[in-house]
Amino acid sequence: MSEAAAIDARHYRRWPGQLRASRWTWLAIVRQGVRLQLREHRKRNLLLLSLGFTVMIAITLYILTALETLAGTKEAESMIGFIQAFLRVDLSGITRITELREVLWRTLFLVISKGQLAWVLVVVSMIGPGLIANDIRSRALPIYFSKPVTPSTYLLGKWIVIAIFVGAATFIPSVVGLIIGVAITGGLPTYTQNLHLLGDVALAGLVNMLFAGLVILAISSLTRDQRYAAGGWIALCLLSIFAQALLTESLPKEQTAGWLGSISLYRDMSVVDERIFSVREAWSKTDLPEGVFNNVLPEPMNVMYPVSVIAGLAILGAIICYRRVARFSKAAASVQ
Amino acid sequence: MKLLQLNNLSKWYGEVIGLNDVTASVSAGVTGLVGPNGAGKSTLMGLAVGQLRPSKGSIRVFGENPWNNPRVLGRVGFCPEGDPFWPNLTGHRFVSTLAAMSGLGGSNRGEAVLRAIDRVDMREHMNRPIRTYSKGMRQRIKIAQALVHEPDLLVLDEPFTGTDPVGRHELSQLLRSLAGYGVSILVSSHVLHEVEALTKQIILIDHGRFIAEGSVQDVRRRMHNRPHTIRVRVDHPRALAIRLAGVNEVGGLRILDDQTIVVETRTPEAIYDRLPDLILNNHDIVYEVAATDETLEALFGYLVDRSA
Repeated sequence: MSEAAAIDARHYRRWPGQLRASRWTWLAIVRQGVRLQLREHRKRNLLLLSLGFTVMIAITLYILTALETLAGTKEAESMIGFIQAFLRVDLSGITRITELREVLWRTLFLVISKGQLAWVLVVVSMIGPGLIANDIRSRALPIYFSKPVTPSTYLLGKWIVIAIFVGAATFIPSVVGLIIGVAITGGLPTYTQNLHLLGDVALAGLVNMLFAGLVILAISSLTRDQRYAAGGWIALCLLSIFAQALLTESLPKEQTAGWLGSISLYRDMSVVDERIFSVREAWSKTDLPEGVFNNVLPEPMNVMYPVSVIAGLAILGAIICYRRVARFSKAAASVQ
Repeated sequence: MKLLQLNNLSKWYGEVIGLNDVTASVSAGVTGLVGPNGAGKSTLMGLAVGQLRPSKGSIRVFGENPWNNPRVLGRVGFCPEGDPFWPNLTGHRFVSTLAAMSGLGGSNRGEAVLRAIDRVDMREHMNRPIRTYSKGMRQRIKIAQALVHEPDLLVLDEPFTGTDPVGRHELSQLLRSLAGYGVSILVSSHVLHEVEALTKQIILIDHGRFIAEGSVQDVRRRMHNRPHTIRVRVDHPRALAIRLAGVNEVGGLRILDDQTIVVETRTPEAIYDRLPDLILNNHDIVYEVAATDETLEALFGYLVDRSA
């Protein structure tokens, strides 16, 4: 009798089916990761707070639609004041709001995406730091890798966890806001006119997920203490902004138009978002006077610089976390 | 077929040697992996469960290379050393999560999880967070996750570490009952008498090198550089010592107290042959004749002593 048959004869094996293919093991990591995060009240509240963006989008779209009919009237003055303050555009004397619908909606989503960039900093600093660091601290990696889980599937699962939360804090509120806005304002014609915004929002969200997700996983893999990882992430983001501000103040404008202008990660992401939402192009197609949108648009620069910085950091992050996780999986079985 | 076959297996971490040219095999049943700290036990286990890649040589588990091989991992359950837990998870959730990672899907997973938890007798505590578990309970729930996919081979790295005597006893019973099901077990431990109580089949390694494999007695007999010691308790040890001094095979004699004499020899069988006559001729009363160093503890002691 074979060994397997001998075991079966003793009624040890009762699992009736086949084991699922190992390429799906990341699903278990995602489920467990999301479940662990959602156990904490403050993290659930964080997601609820993200719906603030939905409210902002819906209200602004409602006001913009109302302005299309009320422009030029006395009732419109306070609404225009709100739009000018919120979108940071100069609409004084402009009555043809309907013709500007597309550019104003694009601008709204650019403004929201800028706010969401700051929000991503907070969300990632709360969700991401422990994703790998806690596994390293609790020495859980040998358990993962004793299952049909490879470092790649492990990292894919962890990345999807952070991507879900970044998406829930950015992409989903924007999409829901867009749907509500369309529903309460214009119906199908408005929807078809602004359908591209759905793709733009998804693309901007994906960039956030890729960049923030891979960078925080890399930082998280470098320490056993999630507080250090959170500190590292916040320091990386804030120091890049301060360094950029310092350089902008101290160097001539021509010198900060290239690589030196791409130090600030916030600015890099803003430039990419601006390119995704194509506000500048939409604005140039109108006959509005130059400068109307200057406050909301970042300084014009070659988009290749920020794209290179973001892509470079994301790739570096992927390499670091892969190497660290692969190393930890080996160190787990170190000499005894 | 051997469950585990190591052929000239070496593993090094930079300049540190984890395993050095080890050739050995593990058959079905329970096998103890014994060696002092730094011997390479965890390295060998890491190689067996596919977490490490050999630097040289080869390892076969069920005839296949375990590295990055889900087929092999599906047949192996691994219980690493330490507390690899997410402390806020309940025992049930912990096993369930790892069951999913093992590839158990669908509605049958819940039954498999409960079955594994029942096997380690943790049903009563399964809904408590792991952080509230005792060391023994943690070991058991760790074994449950290794068992959940019903593997053919269970690899346990230092499962007795940190457990109290009651916990050790329960764990031993659990492992014996698993062995009774026909599950093969490779267990490393410093608690040598527990390993000895579990199995006669051991692999000894030291400083990354293979020392010996087989039963404790077989291995002891092969340690030619160490004389065997036989303890004899009789009424008149001095009279027996005088007679034993005339036996060629006796290498040394020590009288420990007014009843006990210790005989050193390189051929214990010859002494066992001669002892009845020597004792009976003196009309002595015998209380005990025992080989004192044919235990795992003694082997381990020799090993560490030599390493030092």
